[in-house]
Amino acid sequence: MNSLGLYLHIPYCLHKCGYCDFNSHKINTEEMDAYVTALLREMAHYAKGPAKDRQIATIFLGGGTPTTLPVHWLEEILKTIRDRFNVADDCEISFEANPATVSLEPLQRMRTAGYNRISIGVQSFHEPELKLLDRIHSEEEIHMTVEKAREAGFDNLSLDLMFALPGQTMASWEDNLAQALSKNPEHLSTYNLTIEPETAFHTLKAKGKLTLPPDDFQLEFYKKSIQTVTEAGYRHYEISNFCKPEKECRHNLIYWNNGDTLGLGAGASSYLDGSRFKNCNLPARYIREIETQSTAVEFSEQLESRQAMGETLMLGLRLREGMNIPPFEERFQTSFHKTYDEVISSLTKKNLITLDKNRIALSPEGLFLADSVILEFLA
Amino acid sequence: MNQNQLRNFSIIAHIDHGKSTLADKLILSTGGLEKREMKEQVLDNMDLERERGITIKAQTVCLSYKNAKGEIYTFNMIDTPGHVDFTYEVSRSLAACEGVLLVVDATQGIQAQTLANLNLAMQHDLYIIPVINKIDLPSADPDNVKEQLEDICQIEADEAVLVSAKEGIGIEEVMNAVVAHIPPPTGDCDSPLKCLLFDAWYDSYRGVIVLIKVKEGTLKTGDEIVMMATGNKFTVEELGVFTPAQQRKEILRAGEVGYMVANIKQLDQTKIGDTVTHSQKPTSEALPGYKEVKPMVFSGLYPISGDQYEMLRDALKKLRLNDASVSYEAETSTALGFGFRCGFLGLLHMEIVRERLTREYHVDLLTTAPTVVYNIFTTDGQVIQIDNPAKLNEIKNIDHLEEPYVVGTIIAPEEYIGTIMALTRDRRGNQVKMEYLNPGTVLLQYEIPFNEIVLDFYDKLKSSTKGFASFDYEFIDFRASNLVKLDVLLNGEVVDALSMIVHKDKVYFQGRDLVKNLKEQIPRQMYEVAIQAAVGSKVIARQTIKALRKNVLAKCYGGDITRKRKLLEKQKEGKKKMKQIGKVEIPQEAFLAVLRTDGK
Ligand SMILES: Nc1nc2c(ncn2[C@@H]2O[C@H](COP(=O)(O)OP(=O)(O)O)[C@@H](O)[C@H]2O)c(=O)[nH]1
Ligand code: SF4
Ligand SMILES: [Mg+2]
Repeated sequence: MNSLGLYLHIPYCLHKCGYCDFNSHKINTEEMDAYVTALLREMAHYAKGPAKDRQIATIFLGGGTPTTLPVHWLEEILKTIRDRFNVADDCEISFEANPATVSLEPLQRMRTAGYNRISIGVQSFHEPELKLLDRIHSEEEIHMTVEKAREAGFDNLSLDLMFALPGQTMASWEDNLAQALSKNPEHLSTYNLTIEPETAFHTLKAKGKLTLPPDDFQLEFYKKSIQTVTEAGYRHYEISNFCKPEKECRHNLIYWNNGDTLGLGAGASSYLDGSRFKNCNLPARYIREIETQSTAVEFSEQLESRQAMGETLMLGLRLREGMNIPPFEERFQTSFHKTYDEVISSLTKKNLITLDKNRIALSPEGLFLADSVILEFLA
Repeated sequence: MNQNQLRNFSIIAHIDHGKSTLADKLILSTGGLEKREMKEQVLDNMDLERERGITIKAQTVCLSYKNAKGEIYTFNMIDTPGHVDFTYEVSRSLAACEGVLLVVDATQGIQAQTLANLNLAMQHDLYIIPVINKIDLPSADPDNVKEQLEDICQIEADEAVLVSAKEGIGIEEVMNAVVAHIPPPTGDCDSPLKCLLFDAWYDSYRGVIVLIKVKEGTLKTGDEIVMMATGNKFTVEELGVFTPAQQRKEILRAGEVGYMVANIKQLDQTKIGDTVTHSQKPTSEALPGYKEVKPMVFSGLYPISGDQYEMLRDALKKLRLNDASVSYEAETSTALGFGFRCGFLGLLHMEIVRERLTREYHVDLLTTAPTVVYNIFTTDGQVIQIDNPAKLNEIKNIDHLEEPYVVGTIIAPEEYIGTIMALTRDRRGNQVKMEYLNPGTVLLQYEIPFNEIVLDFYDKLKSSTKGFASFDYEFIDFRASNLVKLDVLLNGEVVDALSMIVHKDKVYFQGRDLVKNLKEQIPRQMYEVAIQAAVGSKVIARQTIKALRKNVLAKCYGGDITRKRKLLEKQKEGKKKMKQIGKVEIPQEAFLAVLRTDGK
């Protein structure tokens, strides 16, 4: 039977960060109980219906900030998943945590409950940058959180950093990287700050109150990350992600391989049996809809094969090892080389891709122009 | 129908003074349409007209009016466009009338196109009824308009009818004035047939439909007719009038206006202004006809993808069936490949044609910057006319160039005189007249190269006078000028489609502006792109678009996939609309970059 990645969205945060365009809302204790109840109910719906008989290969609790939930709920969620679904023995079970939202005891309970991977939203080790990003944690709290996570027994730990912040210097970025590496994380994500529509940063930028470093400078930051982190023995396996051997985030690999995933909770997206669908964003509405009809899907589309092919490439090319061609041909019943004949030869000539019989990947030059390359493959 | 009960008239005015709204009210109050069938500016029936709120094509309606005394009159009313590009539409409508309603906005007074249209009406010897519209507005000043009418137009203002077309005030008075003052048509029903063909269009079901005014004689269904200029013969299949619904009639008599269907297959079998007569017992003398309209503005139309070339040819052919004022001729460009050089009456006309081609015929188009025509005099005494700057290269031994001049009329509040003088000086204009229309309002006339006003002059004028100035122009002649060709090079290659002809004194500024605009319009590419402006082999301006080095989205997880795909698909759509020249991809906007160079 086909396996599945299971995603659960916890849409609450202590505070909304300036750059944030995730589906996150201010914590609201009363609503949160109803929310988890709804989440468990939605789970039951899929376990009996569309996701019946699927084995769960990975679980990912994302947000928002999942650790804003009382720990008994986090335990309950995992327990219910196990009751409802067939969870693989080696299931990767990740959750996102923000410094300042966790202490030792809950972490220990989570570890005991079966969570085996923690991803910590550090963003920066420097107070002024944290302040600029409108994060609420301090540098001190980062050190504590990492320490407590280790103490609680998390031996698969990931850190998130952000670069190309307004006014950031290369020296500052180098120091951030060094500090992150000094924690010896199994996994590290480094994200170029982007200004998304409908964020506080977007408004600031429009008013001229926030300026990002020029593109060329952003690129230098990115190159620095790759160089520094790989030299420290990590594998650069996706555009923004690095890991120690075999410590890729298996849940995210499912996305990049365009595999099936089920997303539960407000605003969560799924890809099941060739159709993509997404729940409504607003937690209150999500709760109401689940209560009355057990699902809260507000958008769905059945992809045409051309679109699905485009998506598969769009995602697969994000991986440094690239996209595996035989499964692509198997899936879409078409010859990859024939379908993309012209595109391939023009991109090869420009040195933007590398290609052998079984794989297509971005070349080191192509990496920086990933979106331009992907564009060529879209219909 | 007794000739004495017929009234044929046009509604003319400056743009937006309320012609179409007045037409609506006249239709409504004569019962031409029921209230529920009405919509605003009901005669503007092209999508484009409705969207832009302008009249592009003149429309004729036949209305039946019963006055207070119970007498019944038939009105043939023609709503006309106000924009200068469509003056010819007005002009030919007038030839079918005995009078006009000259609508003037009571808040704006006489404007440039009011005068232009008034002059046309006078040339046709028509009776003029002034209609002062929009009196419902608080800023309406009908007395001022009356004074202007008397002082400037030498029209009896006593007869002016005060109207609010919007509120339906004064409509009855308008109709009474039409009956009282506009003379009924003359013409003898028993004379040999003489009809003016004043409009024609192609209807995909009926073939060509023509509008005629019977000047002399009587026309019946089944009659054998001949078009005197072309010699083409047809049998009349159907006659009728628009009320605005089509209403058949068996006979059209001297003085009447109506439509005719006569199994005419192609629009080019008809000629606007031609005289229609019976093939048996024809009239001895044809009507004078019209001056032919000549396109004034030219631009290259190219399909974005080469395989749409035939589609474009087909679309142009069909479009010309409905708009004979468009001309087209195949041309090739080294940069753009196969396309067409098309002629238009003005920039608005060009935009409308372009939009119709994309909208109605689904051709993805690239339009090159509009240009006027130039006369090239060679040293061996030849004169060659060119409508594409790129063609200048092909001509050897050039002695000198001539460019078209227009006389432009500007009407504006006096406080803008300085601004207008500066603007026109900048555009090489030469003031020939300045006259106060009344205290506070001034009329200025300039002889000015058409080249200088065709692109953005009107916008500049409007914006620098807070929208108060109105403008109209008329072609006068060709005059010798010190002109040079300005070329654009992308990565060292001349892009012929971007060449332009400019005055020598302005070439440096224009070159500098042009490359700057191009830099803004051309997106960063995977290679560096050098943009140069050159006169002959001399580079006069340069800009560089740095290569795109980074284009990568940091995050793409489960929730981002659909959004990201859609975003990329949209970018791809945009990319498909770009033209590849050498290695450089150029969006449509870049070809119009010259529209924004004001060379200052
Ligand atoms: N207030 C007011 N507005 C009017 C009147 N007549 C026309 N308008 C408005 O003026 C604008 C231009 O009218 P339209 O009939 O399209 O003008 P045209 O360009 O001369 O055909 C429209 O927005 C009309 O609604 C009127 O009597 N009073
Ligand atoms: S912690 Fe993360 S999800 Fe919450 S507001 Fe900040 S960026 Fe958004
Ligand atoms: Mg109108």
